Amino acid sequence: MTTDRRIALVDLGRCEVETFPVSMDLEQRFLGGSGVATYLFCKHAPKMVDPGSADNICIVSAGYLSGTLSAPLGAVVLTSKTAATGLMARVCVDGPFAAQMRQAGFEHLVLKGRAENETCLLIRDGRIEFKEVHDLNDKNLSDPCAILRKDVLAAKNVVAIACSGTAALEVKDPEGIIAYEKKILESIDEPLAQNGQDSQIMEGPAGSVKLTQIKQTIGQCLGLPSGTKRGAGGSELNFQTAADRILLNTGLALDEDELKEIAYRCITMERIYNIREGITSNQGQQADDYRKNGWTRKALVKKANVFDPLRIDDLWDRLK
Amino acid sequence: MKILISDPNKCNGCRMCHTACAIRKAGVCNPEKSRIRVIQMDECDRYLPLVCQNCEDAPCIAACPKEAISRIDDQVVRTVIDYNKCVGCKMCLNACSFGTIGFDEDRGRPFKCDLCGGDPLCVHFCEPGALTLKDPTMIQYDQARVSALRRTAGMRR
Repeated sequence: MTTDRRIALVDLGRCEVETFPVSMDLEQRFLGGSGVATYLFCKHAPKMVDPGSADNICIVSAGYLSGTLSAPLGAVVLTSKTAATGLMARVCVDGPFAAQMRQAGFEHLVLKGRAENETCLLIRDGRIEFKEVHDLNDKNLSDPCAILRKDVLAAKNVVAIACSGTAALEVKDPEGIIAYEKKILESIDEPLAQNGQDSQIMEGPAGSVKLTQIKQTIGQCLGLPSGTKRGAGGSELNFQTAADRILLNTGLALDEDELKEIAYRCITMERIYNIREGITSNQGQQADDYRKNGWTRKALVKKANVFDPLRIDDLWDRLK
Repeated sequence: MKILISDPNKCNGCRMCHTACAIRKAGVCNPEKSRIRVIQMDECDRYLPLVCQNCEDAPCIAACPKEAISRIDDQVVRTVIDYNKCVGCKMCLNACSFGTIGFDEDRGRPFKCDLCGGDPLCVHFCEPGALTLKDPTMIQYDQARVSALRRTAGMRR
């Protein structure tokens, strides 16, 4: 069973596009945004790839709720292997691009290969065009945009991605979500209840994860804007609110434990990928964390104990 | 009698208003189906929420060959389209100086803001308070206040 959400595999070298729908199973396991992006990255990234080479892939994915009333602008997550650390890295970008990308017909773009000349991707109503551009410069861009373009997509020779579209995003319960979001907006000035859960740790088959990290991952999966009060990104995310929003917008019923499990699954995938790319032999804070917490190849890369209970056994061949 | 005022100085471009409008009016998240539009003005770094101005001497009323558009004045002043008379000729779309009348290709008829019958949803969803429902006679006092504050800013310093 599939949904109306679509993934595009874009081969920049050969100017080819292959699209396929997001399956219901994928949606239930990873929601969208950074969750599906992590899965796609683990599935498509070649082993021990050079970050600056054409073989490295970059995934642009819009959050699960981008463009809906819960996150009208949404957030885009770029996932790739970075040259700075040689590990998986994510960049979260707030702004109207995520909603535009969904309205143009795509949830995830997997960019492969390298374009011959500087190329701009034009995405319009489910069609992707490659357009060579020559005179585009960084003069009119704000600093973060310019840096993002130089560092993340420069290796692919992609200078810009432009989206426009009129695709209607279905809402499961239109009046329900209006009433729900109205209530949230009205209670926005009330002080947030400090429940002191933030130092909590969630245990699972692949080691422990901090609750703040779980919340951050859920926020990135859903595409909720980070750092704002109503977006409830980071530590302010409320699991019940997130679950209600998903149910009203998409009809997917999840409870708190299932949401936590999804986030845990994404974090584990990232850890296993980083171990495969050899983080444990690195220096620095992140590598120390891995060693200190015992996240090693021996402990994590086990089919029966880790991959099967987390329902990521289809990645076993790629990540073992 | 009230009218809908939008203030570009307060708008932060969050698009809550047009997403809420599209969901209420069309049941889907699609800015094309929204009665309100948020125009991004890069040159002055502002967003302008644009909605039917309910003009006193409305060009859309004059342009309609079937006299399907009329102006009513009860709780709020609004121009409404009578779909029993409308033939979908798009003359009103061409006549509107603000471009706030949209066209529903599926149903073959134009749509415009009807102020939700007197209680616009977008006003409830505007967190920064850029959209407000005001008495037109009071607007000049607000403008006078802003202008006076601007003038006395130097003195207070």
